[in-house]
Amino acid sequence: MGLMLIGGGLAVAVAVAVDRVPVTPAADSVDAGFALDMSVHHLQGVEMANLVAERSDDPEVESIAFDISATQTNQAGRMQGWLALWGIPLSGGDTMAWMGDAGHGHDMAGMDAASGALMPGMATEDELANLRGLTGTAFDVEFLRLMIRHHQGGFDMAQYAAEHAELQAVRDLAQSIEDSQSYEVSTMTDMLTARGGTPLPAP
Amino acid sequence: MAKDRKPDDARPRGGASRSGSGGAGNRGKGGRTRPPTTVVANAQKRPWGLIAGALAVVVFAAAVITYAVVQVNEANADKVESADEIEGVQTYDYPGGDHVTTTVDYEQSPPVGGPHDPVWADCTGTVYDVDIRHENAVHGLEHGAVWITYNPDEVSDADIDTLAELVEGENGRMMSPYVGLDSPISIQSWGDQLKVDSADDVRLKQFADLMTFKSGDFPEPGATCERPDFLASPQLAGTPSTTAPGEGDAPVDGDMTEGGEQNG
Repeated sequence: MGLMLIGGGLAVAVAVAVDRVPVTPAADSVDAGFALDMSVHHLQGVEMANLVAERSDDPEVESIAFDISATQTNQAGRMQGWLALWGIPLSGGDTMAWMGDAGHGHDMAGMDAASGALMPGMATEDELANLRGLTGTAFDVEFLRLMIRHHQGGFDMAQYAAEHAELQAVRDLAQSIEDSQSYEVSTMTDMLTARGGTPLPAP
Repeated sequence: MAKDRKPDDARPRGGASRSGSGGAGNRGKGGRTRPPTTVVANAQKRPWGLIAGALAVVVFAAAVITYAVVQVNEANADKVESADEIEGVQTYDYPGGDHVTTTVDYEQSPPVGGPHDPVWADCTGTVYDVDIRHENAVHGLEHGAVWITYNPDEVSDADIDTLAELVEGENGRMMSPYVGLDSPISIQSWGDQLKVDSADDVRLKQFADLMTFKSGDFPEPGATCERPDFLASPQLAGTPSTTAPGEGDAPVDGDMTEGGEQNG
């Protein structure tokens, strides 16, 4: 019996040793910074998208909002899961620091990169309050304007991580965010134009 | 540092069981080997009990590993790790598509990528008995779904049941008849397609198991297959989009060059 335990333990130990390639990104890595900031960025996108069901009567807007909400909720969960595995807290990081100069170059006017600052493309509290007060086509237009700018801001973050992150899984997710936000911007810009709106300045 | 944490976590567990059971082993051995070892020098030169014990451990470990490997190999006998390993798969390169509310003239039939309707076809293990609108199905593929289609004139009810077994209960899959399909059965995901003649072809399961939500192989990881409105009322091939806003009311029939599919 004892021998069996030893043998079994040895077998498991060998298997684990062969299989395991430990890579845990540090808190100041691109991987961790991207996961932290993009999950926060995504969740504001989800918050805006979740306003659509009650305020819009436009099936095309409702459809893209449902898509954005479900997809970005899932992706934010993936990133938060990584952070949990890496032992990195979900708040309190130095926002956008992981992008170095590239991140600062995209800062919105008057904002520093300290914790709590808005990331590129994110809506201000005033903009969100205004959006919540709208309905119908006026809501659709403002929603599309904010979401286009939001995607444009996320695009730069994803592009940087797709190039500089250490882990393949992180680069892959960043790459697909970069790609999908790029074509969703063109789709939403067409939708905005069709509804008589004009885009906000890109972040 | 952080890197060492995981192996450290694992070690106490392995160490505990090793020393615990090692103690038990020594006790058992001691019982057997100690009586004859009143001649101390002899025992020190040739600790046969220890050698035999160590050998038994190594042999047992080898047996366990071999057994595990054999089991895993058996379970994976039909498993493939890339689409290249499945004979006959055609691969196409499509970036994430635009949303269109018009009819699309796709390169492949059934389509495997390209522009698509804003509404995706529900693909939560959904078995449709109607030829669903292709522009909506493509959006399902963009969300990572595997879509099985069959020519309703060329497969039996039993075949349809066999195919449905691959789909029902498997989120990320859907199935529908496809009027005018040029082979009895076709299975596709975003950018990949395999046409087969028999519902029993093992490659169908290989394709479905490999490609459902395959990481890195479709544009929108994390997107959902749930689409309750489409599930409740599937749009049909050859009908205009229900998402078309007011100004797009007149469907662009002129764009549609696939003969014989209207109102299919």
